[in-house]
Amino acid sequence: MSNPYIPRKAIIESIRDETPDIKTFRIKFKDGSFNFNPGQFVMVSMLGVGESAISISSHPEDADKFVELSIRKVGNVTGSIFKLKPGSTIGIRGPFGNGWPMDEASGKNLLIVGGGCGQGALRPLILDVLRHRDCYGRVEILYGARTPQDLMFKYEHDIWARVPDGCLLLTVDSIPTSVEWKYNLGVVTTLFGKTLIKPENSLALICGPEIMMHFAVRGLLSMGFKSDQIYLSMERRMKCGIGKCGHCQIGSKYVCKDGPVFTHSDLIHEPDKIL
Amino acid sequence: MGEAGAFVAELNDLQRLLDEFTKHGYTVYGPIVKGKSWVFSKVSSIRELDLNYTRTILPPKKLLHPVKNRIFDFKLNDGFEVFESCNVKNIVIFGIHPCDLRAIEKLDEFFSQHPEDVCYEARRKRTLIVGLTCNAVDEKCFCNSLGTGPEASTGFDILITQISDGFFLVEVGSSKGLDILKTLDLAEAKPEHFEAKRKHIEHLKSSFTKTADFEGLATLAKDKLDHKIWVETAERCLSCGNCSMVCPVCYCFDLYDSLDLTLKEGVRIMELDSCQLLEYAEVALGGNFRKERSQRLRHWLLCKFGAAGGSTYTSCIGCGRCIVYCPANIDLTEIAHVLKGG
Amino acid sequence: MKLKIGVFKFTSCSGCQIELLRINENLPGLLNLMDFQNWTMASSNVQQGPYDIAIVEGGISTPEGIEEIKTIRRNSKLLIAIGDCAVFGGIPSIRNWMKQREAEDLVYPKPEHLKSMKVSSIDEYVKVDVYLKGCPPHLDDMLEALKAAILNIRPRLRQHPVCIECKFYENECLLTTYKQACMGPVTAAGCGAICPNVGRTCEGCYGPMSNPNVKSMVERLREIGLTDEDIMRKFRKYAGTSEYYREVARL
Repeated sequence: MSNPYIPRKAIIESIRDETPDIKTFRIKFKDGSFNFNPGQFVMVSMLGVGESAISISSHPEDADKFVELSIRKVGNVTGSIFKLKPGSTIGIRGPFGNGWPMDEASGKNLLIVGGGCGQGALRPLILDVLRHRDCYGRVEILYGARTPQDLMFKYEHDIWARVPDGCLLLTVDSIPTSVEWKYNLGVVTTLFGKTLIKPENSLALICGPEIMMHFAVRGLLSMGFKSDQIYLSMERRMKCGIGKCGHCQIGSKYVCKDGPVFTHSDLIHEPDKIL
Repeated sequence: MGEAGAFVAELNDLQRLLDEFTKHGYTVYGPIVKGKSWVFSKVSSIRELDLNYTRTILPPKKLLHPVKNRIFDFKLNDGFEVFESCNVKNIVIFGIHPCDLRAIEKLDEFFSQHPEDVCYEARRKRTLIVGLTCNAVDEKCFCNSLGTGPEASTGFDILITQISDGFFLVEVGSSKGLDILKTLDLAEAKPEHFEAKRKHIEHLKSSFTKTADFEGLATLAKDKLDHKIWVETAERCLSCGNCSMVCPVCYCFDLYDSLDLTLKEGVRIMELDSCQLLEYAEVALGGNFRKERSQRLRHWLLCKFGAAGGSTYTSCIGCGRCIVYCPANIDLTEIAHVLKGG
Repeated sequence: MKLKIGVFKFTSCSGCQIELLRINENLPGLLNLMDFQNWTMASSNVQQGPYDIAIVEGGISTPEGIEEIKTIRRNSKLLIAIGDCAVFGGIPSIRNWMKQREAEDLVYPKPEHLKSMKVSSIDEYVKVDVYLKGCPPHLDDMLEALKAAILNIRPRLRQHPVCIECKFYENECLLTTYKQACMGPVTAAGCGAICPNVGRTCEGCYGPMSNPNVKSMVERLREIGLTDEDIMRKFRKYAGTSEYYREVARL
């Protein structure tokens, strides 16, 4: 029986800037293999500073070569990771949580809605669509951020946009004066009018700030989506990642163990959420 | 359990039992007096124990899921090295009341869920549990209403019941318990001793003054998330965390690192935490989904009614500690009563 | 590279610095990391700034003090306020609740020479990066703050109430069991519950916890027989000027 609190060692192979406060760290494990599902997360350890829950942003099929973590600098742990250079060692526990409903999504139209750094958790799903296009119906990616600078994975947007029978719709809350922007202006729900996906045989998969998910859910419900067709990746404080420490509870649900992906109907009767 | 696995003992036999534990390399903890309260503490003599205690400040969880516990040591070099350090020794917890026995069973079930908390498991495997049927109940006890006492039928290696002054029925709950008891050459219990115990339990059951009805509350309370009781009670609540710290089934913990002054070595610490504290649910950048005191209080109460993430693992066992140690006299049985429309 | 540190004192009793002197016990480890360049209590060898860290004890109560703390701030990358006087005004701020001239008359035979004002926390005048509450703050908190400064992270300081630490030590509850006026339920932890550990009530020296329920605490103190005057003194003592206690302290 191994100790679930002991982190494994991983080496940072490369680092790329995504936005002014988000970087993607490509890591490789020093020992053994690593398997995960799209939408799962890991606990990243900076020994001496602490641990943070981070979504995996790369595709499972690449895991034997590398795993990517897109990290926003928000606190002690993430701030310390930002100071690291390629070659540095970090600690990893996991993967944890359930991930996106890949079996359920198979053969369906997907409306993928991302907000801000929530796009990191959605990228493995998007990559899966790109690699296994035949497995899904129509796929529309709606992605919003505060400003054009805050959009992650810009270098891939062209590829996402060219998905056959699909589209990429971008939006931002505001545009700094010096920036050119040819897409939508407004919160991500303002894109809902442009989608072609109808609720039948479709799923909506959402990750972003909870207030954004709240409005997205309302929009989707009014479009005719049912509560159990709407999947949300939730964020809560996490300490252990394995359903023990209690911090991530939303009512009777553990985000780390029962989630982080829930259907809207899973959460509808739970307290202490904005949804 | 059964007549084949039961003996009778006098106080000096219990001393011999303690000595036997020590001989086998166990450290024995039992309830001793601390001022006007009781605590589980290291003991070597049966006379140090107060077998008439009502409840300890901290429940036995402090020995199985310690308030502070290093889960590993680490060294920072080019990367890091981790040294597992869960500290385990053989212990006996002597004199645990039925409600607390039930609590330990819940903790066992909880921590053994995949992935197992190996430190908890290791400690638990090396712990012998000696239950003690209560000698009396007080006005804060309500295990009887929840079916978690005053009679214990599982959760112990040995169960002791005082059936008359200085005379005890000693029942076996496990082969480990039996092995130790066999060495004492105690007289086997006779039907009359079981009858005496039955009478004692009957007497206990009739002396409860506090009752609680939590039946169906796990669902009902969640239908009443907007009930005014949450906000009203929160006006009194100090968010001091006492309720959860003294609760025998509240397991929530924090994990943090502490470096020594070289900044090259440190420890990762697991420390008991409380959902009543503002910081407990804070997320990055200061967001908090249980910022309101009433939300935190409601979460804890839902948890005790079996409606939070801990499910029945963390639901109330009726020991009364949270009521005794609440500076604001918040009583979860009263809240249950109100929610049930009383 | 070692961090350059300056330690400064304003209106206070020097008790925080005495606690900081206990650093001696940890000196070998610490001196690898930092260089105390200006600490008159510890060494007469004083080097002028700029400093990486200024550790400041005491509240501000003179016009000169205002200029001085501003200079310190300009000369320091990180400013750590140590103790209730620096953080809240502390015990000297009890006099803020009476007229300045009455307070002066009480203490000095010739108050006309004084250039004194009401006492305020240092963040009244300058930005404070780390607040170490306590009278004095525990050395462990000071070390935590210094370690965090070196690592450039936020220190882990307890914001929860003393009750939590009391339970860690399984102290008897002085408020519920003994009906004594213990300030634990509203007071920030970090002290290690040192007073309850020896059977004494928490006096509240770490100031308010992260969100104290002051209104309910007042009720609890009334229940055990304290007068409103007693209660007012309790809240006034260490952190009466703090946002949470101000209203009760004014009673």
